Amino acid sequence: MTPENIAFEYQLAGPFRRIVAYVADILISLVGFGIVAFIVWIGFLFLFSNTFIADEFWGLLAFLTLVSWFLIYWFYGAVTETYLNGQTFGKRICGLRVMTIDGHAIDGVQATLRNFFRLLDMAPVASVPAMLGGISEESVLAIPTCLIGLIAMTINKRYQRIGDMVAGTMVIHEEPRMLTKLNQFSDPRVASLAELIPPVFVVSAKLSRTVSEYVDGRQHLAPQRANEIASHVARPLLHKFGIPGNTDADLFLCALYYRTFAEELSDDEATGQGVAVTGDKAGKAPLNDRITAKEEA
Amino acid sequence: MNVAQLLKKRRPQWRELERLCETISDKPDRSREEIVSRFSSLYRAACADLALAESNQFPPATVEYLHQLVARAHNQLYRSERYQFQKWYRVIFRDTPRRIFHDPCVHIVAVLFWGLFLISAYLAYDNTVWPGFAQDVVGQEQLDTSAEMFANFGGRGRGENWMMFGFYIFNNAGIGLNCFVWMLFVLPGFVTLAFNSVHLGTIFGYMFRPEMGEAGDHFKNFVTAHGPFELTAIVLSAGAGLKIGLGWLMTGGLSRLDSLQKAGRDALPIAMTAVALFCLAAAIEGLISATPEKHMPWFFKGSVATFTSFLLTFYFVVLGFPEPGDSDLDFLSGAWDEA
Repeated sequence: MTPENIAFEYQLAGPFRRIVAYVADILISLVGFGIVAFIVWIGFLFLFSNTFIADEFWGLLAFLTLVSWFLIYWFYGAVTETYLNGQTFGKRICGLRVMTIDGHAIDGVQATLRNFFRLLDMAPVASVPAMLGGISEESVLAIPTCLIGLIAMTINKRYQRIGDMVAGTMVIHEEPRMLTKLNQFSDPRVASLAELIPPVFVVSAKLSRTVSEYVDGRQHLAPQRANEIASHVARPLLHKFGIPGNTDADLFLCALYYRTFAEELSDDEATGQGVAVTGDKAGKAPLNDRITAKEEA
Repeated sequence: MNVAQLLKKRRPQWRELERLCETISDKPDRSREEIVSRFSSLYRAACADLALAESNQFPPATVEYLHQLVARAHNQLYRSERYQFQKWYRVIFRDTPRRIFHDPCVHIVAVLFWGLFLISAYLAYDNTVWPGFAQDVVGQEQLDTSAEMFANFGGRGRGENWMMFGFYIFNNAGIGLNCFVWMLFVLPGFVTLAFNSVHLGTIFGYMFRPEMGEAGDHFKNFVTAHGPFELTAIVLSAGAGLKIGLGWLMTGGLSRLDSLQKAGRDALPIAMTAVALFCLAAAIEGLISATPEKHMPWFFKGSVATFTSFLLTFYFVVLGFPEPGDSDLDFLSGAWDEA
């Protein structure tokens, strides 16, 4: 629910998309860090190859390298998610975004928490020293199995790993989807059959959904199979409307689709039936037009 | 107006909103005002369209498209909050010490850690109550290694000191954060904590035995200066972890997830304090502790330890003592919602 007073849905991202984004993140941070460190070290070695440089200088350089790796290791995700509106670079590539569970943008505390607990979600690693002694030589080589994170994701309905549960966040997939056009029918019988459906009949939400899904998918079906599927919905309706039973079921559903979505609504229908539907429409449509008009002005 | 006409009429504006989503996401701060206001009016129009589409049973594909479009635009319009640095002063010097001083989880962990540490140190030192305790717990091999390490310890070059400073930050703060995170499952966290405290305590006790001679002196020289910061940091990181671990076990009337999230929010400043202490300890460990006796007398290292202990006491007790009253608590929750 937003200040615009509308509730909308997010598409949650599953573990496999997220692992790809995470691997991308690792590559980006590792390669980025590696290249910068390499250039700096090689550059200084080259510059000062002939001059005497104090021992401290190299120590300081090593210190800076280690500290920046520490910062990247623990805070890369937290900082990028805070400053890039819930996305790391890997998530941006994969079209993912972190949101709070009520659909708002996350804050710094949440970003930091969920990235700390990644360590737990990646566990158990394939070696014990990691659990007892942190980052040692053995645990760098260890392979994270991500079992804890996967189990956590399967037992809740938002695919949250443990870090997400602690921070109260979820990861969504922002896929730019193509706007499909309404189906057009070249067969003239569709329009004429639509005339036969009585104007009193109000298409319920469930029926309009069913019909629309059927019409979207019907070109993938063999004609006999399409007819067979369509007849389950079409027969009772045909019987109810008094249209001869031998009418093609597939054709009838197309006609119903045409009548629901494409045909001009007559005035008496708009005032006569389906108060809920038409009432809403009367309320919203002018508002809609007004905004449009304002934008064009 | 029917669905087909409406879609035809609205489609160009939806397309424009899609395009704007992409432009704005590239550089949000530099977007021009007209673009932002155009974007928000398009977004409101799309919201209205979605409401219309849902109540009027548009084809599901269209409704899904609109859901996706509105969600995308919403995420561009309402953006994540940045870290608010001006609030940090108050969080660091007022809220966090109070929170730590009054936190039962920190108390429990402190008692457990220091208790096990002292007991195992005594057992390893004394060697009569439980003969061979040190060998049983740590193993002869490791004891020999550390004895040998400190026997030959003669300080490092200054460059190496800086490098070790970096290494200690990476390694020790990493261990602290490990401990914090594993405490979520309480039991493995306690195992890690108990293991570390017994291990450390045993080595301390063993190295201070009179027969250790030179190695013992070097050891004392090495551990004194950074001890207060580092041991406190271990306690704090485990305490913060325990807070989260108990958060989902003892919910205090909230739902389990809500309680976990609240505990997470409360524990994060404690964990960050621990990280800061680990970094300070690493600086002392790398730059001061490792300097051999002849360059820096033990008296100086002892003063460092005293001074850091004094700082810690001041921070936790003096700054932390005031009980957070009701108004303070309101302020705290507000600050953390915003911070």
